[in-house]
Amino acid sequence: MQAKRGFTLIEILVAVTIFSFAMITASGIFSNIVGNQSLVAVSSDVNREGQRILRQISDDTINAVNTGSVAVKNGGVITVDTAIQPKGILFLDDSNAIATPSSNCVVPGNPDCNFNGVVLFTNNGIRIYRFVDVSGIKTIQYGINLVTPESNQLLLSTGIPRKLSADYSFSTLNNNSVEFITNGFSGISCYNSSCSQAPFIRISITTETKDYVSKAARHRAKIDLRTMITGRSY
Amino acid sequence: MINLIITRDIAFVKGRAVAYNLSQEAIESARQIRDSNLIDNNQSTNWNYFICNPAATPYLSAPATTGTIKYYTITSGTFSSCYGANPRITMISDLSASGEPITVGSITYTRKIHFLNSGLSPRVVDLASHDVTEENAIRMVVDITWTDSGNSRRVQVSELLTNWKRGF
Repeated sequence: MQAKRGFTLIEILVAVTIFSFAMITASGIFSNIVGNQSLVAVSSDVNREGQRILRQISDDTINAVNTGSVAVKNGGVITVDTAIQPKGILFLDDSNAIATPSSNCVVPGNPDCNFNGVVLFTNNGIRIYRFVDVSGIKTIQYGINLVTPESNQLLLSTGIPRKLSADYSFSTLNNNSVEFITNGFSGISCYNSSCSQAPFIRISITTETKDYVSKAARHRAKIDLRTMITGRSY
Repeated sequence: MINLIITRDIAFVKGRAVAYNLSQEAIESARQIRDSNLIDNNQSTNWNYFICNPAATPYLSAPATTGTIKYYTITSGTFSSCYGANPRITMISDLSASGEPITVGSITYTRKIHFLNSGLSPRVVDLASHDVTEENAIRMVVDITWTDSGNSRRVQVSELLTNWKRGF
């Protein structure tokens, strides 16, 4: 009777070794693909959000060509401040009070010329953009007056400094997967008819994945964007 | 390999987004100069006097659009010979044509600006109709170049700038 032939121990060891190498290689490729998918997804998200928000602010700034007014609201009484006739753009400081850039603010990088927000007097009424830290997450907010959205009269509270009144409703512009690190807005604004400089805004923002520092390299992305925008007529 | 390709693609997309914004910044700076020229109540500034070169005469000038291409960079500060005491944005000649280096994030971009004739036709001054004519328009070209992973990248954007107060 002829004995059945099987595999030798050496043959089996060689086969197992080759199979192991193949599996290790395949799992490495698979892991790379999954990791790259994640990197592509977060990078796209961060790029898209940064550019979308820059574009929205740009579009409203281009449209910020109206002469507005500033008024103090005390209960139901509104008193117009005739000393200020803003054209197109006003800046806001950290406390939401009107900030007044000096003529030196045409020069980039002046630390006294970084402001937290902008008020845009557009054909469709006042639009406000501001950077806000919400529970440690840096976001950008968009505000309008829901009662009189078409009005170009900026309402301030009675306290000193005069801050934005409570008439403006704000919502977060960015999605909750990103946050913004910024030096703020800078530029020039016009306060009355004797303005000799065309108003403009410079924006410099870093958009990054939320909790950027604590995330693995394949799960985070960052983009720095800067640009400048002017209104289109005065 | 796949990793490398994807990482390069991401870097390129990111770099291109930054480059387009830097080109927009240059065009908006030119718009700001033009619009300031129109509202500054300074008789010596015409709408297209984008350049202040205090070392030359005349101090203010329109960009050259014929002959050898001349490049310009954007700057700001006090140019008393052109604008008086107030700081202004202006352009100056880039005699070495090396462009303006701008670092955004970890990448240094180079921005070069030149001007061309608008190409509008017919080239007539029509103050009655306020049509856009050669005298009332100029084409600005912004080149942004940068290098990522050893590859040279370039974005070019051009924009027609017009004298929107023409005839007045």
